[in-house]
Amino acid sequence: MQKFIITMLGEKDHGKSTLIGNLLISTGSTTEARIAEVKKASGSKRFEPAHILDSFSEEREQEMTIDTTRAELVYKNAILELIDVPGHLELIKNMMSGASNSDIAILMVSVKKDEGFRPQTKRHIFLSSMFGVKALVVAINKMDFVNYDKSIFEKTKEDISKYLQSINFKKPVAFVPISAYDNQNLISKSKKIPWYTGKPLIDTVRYFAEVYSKNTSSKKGLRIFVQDSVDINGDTTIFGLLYNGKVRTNETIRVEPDKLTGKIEKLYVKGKKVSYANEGTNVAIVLHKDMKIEKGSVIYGNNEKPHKTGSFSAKIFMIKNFNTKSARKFTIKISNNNIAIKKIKINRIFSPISAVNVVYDSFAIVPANNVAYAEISLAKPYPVEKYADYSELGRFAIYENENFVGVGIIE
Amino acid sequence: MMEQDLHKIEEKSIFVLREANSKFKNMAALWSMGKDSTAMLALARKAFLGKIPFPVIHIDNGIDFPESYAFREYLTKKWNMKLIVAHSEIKQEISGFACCGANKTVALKKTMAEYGFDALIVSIRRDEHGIRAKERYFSPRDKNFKWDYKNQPAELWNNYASKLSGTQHLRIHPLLDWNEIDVWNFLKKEKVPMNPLYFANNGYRYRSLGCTHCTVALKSNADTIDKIIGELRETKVEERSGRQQDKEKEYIMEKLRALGYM
Repeated sequence: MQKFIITMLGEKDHGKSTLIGNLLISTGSTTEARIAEVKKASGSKRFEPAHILDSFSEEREQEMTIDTTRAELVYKNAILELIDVPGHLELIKNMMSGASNSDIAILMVSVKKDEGFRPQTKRHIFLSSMFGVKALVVAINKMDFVNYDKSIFEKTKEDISKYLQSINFKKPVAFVPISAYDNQNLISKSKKIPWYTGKPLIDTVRYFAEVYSKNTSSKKGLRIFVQDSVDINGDTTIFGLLYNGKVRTNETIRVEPDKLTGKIEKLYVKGKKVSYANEGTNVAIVLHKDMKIEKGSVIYGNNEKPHKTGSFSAKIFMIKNFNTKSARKFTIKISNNNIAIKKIKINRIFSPISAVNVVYDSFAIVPANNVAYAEISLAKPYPVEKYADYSELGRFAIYENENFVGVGIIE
Repeated sequence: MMEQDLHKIEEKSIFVLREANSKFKNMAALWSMGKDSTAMLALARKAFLGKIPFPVIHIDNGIDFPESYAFREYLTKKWNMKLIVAHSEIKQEISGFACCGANKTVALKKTMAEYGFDALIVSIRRDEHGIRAKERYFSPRDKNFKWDYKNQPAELWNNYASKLSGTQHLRIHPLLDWNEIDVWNFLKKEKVPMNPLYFANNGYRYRSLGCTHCTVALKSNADTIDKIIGELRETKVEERSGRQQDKEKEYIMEKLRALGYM
C-alpha cells in the first residue's frame, strides 16, 4: 500500500490529537481494545478521542501531547501516517523531529474565542515552508463554538492567506472548516456546514498527498553517504546510503571531501551481489584498490564536484537565543555527520512573526524564533549542496555544546 | 492491518543498523527468540553481508517455553551468532509488572555492566503500544536505564543521537516503522526459520511471546505464515492481548519502560 507522511501543525489545544483520535476511530484504524482502554482510563470524565494517541498518564491528566506520536490510518487504499507534534514553544525540536520527513502538513487553527491564528502557528508555517512542505491543508477547527458561522471561517482564512503571502509561501493551500471533537466534516460532508462546497478534510488530505507528494527533484547526480568501512572476508567494504542517483560496478567514483577517486569492483544491496543499485538503497561497495575512506565522506560521480566544502551561506531558524560571541562550541549536524563550526557571521535577521527584517546588537545576537541569514565556516571541509538541489546535504541542525539551538538550510 | 512496502522499511532498518554499528564500539542486541527480534537478526545478516557483527543477549528467567530454548540453540548455531545468556533470578512474584520490571531488567543491567555495552538493539515497533509510538530510532538511557521521554533528543532526518553526558547507553530501534503484518511478510519472503509456537497446534497459537507464566495462547487455526497473515488482515484484537504485564492496570507500559523495560 502507498504511504504518505503528514505532519500535524498548530498550537496546543487547537485540537490536533482530538482530530487524529476521531479519524482513527471513524476509519476503523484503531482497535476496539484501544478505545476500551481509553474509556476505562478516563473513568467518569468525558471520552477524549485525543487519548487514543496521548498514551502517557501525564499527557491525559494535563491534556497535552508530550513528544511526537505517529498514527497510521488506512483510507482509500493508502496509508496516511499522521505525525502528532506538541504545539507548545519549547518543544519545537520535537516538531522538527516529526516534520523533517514529511511532505504534506495539516495546520490546525481553532476559531474558538481567545484561540485563533497565533504567533506560534506562524512559526510552524514558516518552519514547514523553509523545509519544503509540498502542500498545506488548513483545518479551521472548533467551528461548533462559533455556530458554524461562515464569516468567521472566511475571516480566519483571510488572515492566514495574508500571512502566507507575506512570507512568500507559494505551495498549494486548502482551507477546510471542521469540528474535530464533534466529528463534523472529517470524513463525510457536514450538514451543519452547508455553505462549504469543498471535500471533507480526509478527502482533501488524501487528494493533496496523492498529487503533491511526488519527488520533484530533477537532480540525478550520485550521492552516497559513507557510514562505515569494514573488513569482510578480506575485502575492505564501504557501507553507505545511496541517497541520490544510481551506481554500477566498474564505475569510477569520487570521494569528498578528500577528493579521492576509485573504481567499484563489487556492489551489494541487501546482502546480495548486484551490478547496479538504485536511489534509496543501502549499498556495500568494494573498490578495485583499497583506500582509506572515512565515515562521513560523501561519494560523488567522477565528474561532479560539491557546491561548497569549507564555508557556505545559510538561513537558520533559531530555536534558542543565539550569541555568536559565546565561548561555547558550535557544531552542525548534517546528513549523518557532526562537524564543528569555526566561524559564524550573521548578515541579516528576519522575524517570521512580523514578517520583517529586524536588528539586534549589530547582528551578534539572534533571539529565539528569529531567522538568521549567515555565513558559516567549518573547522574541516565537508561537501554541502544547496537545499533546493540535494535536500539531505543542504539542511542541518546547529548545536551549542550538547544543546539543539537551530535548524538551517544552505543557499 | 496496514501492510507497507517491505523494500522501503527494510532499507530504513538496514541504515539504522549500520549507523549504530559504526557509531558504537560495543553494541549488543536483545533476542527473545520471538518473531520481531528474529526478523531483526535476519535483517542484520543482510546489512552486514551474512555475518552478524554484534552479540545477542537472551534474558533468561528459566521459564521460557521449551520450544524457545530449542529454537535458540538451533538458530545460534545456524547463523553463527555470539549468544550471551543473561540469567535472571526470580526473586519477586513470577508475573506481570514485578516480574518484567524487576527480574528481567535487573538481569539486563547486570549483563550490560559486565560487558560494558554502550548500545543495545531492541526490536520494538511503534504499532505495538501507544507508549512505544513515542520512541526514536536512537534513544538514550541514563545509569538507571530511565527513559526521559519528556526530553528526548531531536532526531532530524538521518542524524541520530550520540552518547552525551548522562547517557549510560543508547537503545537502537531498527524495527520502529514496522507493523506486525510487515514482520510476517518479511519472514515469509526471507524464509526465516521460526519458533513453532507461533503456529496453531490443536486450535491455539501464540501471537506475541513472553515467558510461560505470562503469555496466553489465542484460538486460531493458522498453521502457516500465509494463514497468520490472513488472520491479521481481519483481526480487531490487539497483538499483545495475550501478555499479562500490559493488562494489570492502566499505564503499566509507561511504568515498565520508565524502569528500563524493553
